[in-house]
Amino acid sequence: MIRAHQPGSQPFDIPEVIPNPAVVPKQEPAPKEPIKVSEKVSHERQHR
Amino acid sequence: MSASSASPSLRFLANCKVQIQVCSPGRLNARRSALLGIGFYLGSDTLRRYACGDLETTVSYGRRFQRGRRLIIYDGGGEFDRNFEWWERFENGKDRLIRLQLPFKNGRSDLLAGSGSKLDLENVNLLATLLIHAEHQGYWSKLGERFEEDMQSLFDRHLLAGLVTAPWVRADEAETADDKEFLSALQELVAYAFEESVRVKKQSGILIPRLQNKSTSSFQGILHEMQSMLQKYRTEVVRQSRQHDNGGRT
Repeated sequence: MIRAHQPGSQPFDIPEVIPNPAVVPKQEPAPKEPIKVSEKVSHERQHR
Repeated sequence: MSASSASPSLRFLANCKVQIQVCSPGRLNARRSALLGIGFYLGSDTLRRYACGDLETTVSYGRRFQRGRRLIIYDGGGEFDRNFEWWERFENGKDRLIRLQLPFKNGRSDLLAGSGSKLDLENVNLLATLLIHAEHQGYWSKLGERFEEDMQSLFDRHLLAGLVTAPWVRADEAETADDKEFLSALQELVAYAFEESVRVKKQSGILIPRLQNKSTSSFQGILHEMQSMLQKYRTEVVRQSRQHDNGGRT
C-alpha cells in the first residue's frame, strides 16, 4: 500500500472554481430505487 | 490517494470538504512533472483559480522535506510498496513482460488535486502512467513520448511553451526552489484557461455546429484540444491492452 502524506490540516481554499466548458458531463446510471415495502402489509399492521 | 477533513459518510469525489492527493509511483523529472500538472489542470472538469497560499502543505518547508508550494510534490513521507505489476516490452517490442514489482525502489509524484472528481483521478492515472513509462522505458514508453510531443505542439500553438520550463516540482537542485517562478507559470495557465472558457461559452452557439464537421480540433481552443488528446491516448491504451486480453500481439 502506498500511503500519502496528508497535505495539511486546513483544506485548500480555492476561491474561484468554474466548470470546464470543454468537458461533457457523463451520464451516470441512475441509482436503483429503494426497495418498497408492500402497502398491503402496512395496512394489515395498521388494522391490527 | 489520501483524503483529509472527511467523515466516512461523506462522498469523497467532487466534495469541497475532502482534499485528494493523487499519488503515482516514481519520481517524474522536472519537465514531465510540468506535463502532469498542466495536463491535470486543462483536463479537469473544473477550472480552479489558485491563490498564493493554496498549495502550502505540511511538507512545504522545514528541515526534512522542503517541497515548497507546488501542485506536484515528490514523496512527502509514508511507506512505499513496490509490489505492483510493471509492464515492459521485449522481442522487439512485440511481446509483453509483466514484472511483479515496480522498477524503482522508492519515490512518488503526488498531485494535490484538492477537491477532485472521478475524471480528475482517471486523467492523472493516465497521464502519470504515460509519463512514468517514458521515464523508465516501460511498456507505454513510446506512447508516452508521443504524448509529450503532442503536448509540446499544443503549447507551441498557444504560445505557452515557456510554462514547461517553470519548476512545477521542487527537487534537490537549487534552481527548482523558487515558488514564485512556479506560481507565475501557474497563474499564466489559469488566466489563459479562464479566458478560453469565456470564449468557448460565448461562441459555443455559433462556432461549434460548424466545427463539428471538421476533423481537426485545433480551432476549438486549448481546453477542447486537451480533452481530445486525453481521449485519444486513453483509447489507445485500452485498445492495446485488450489485444493482450484477446491473445493478440501489439
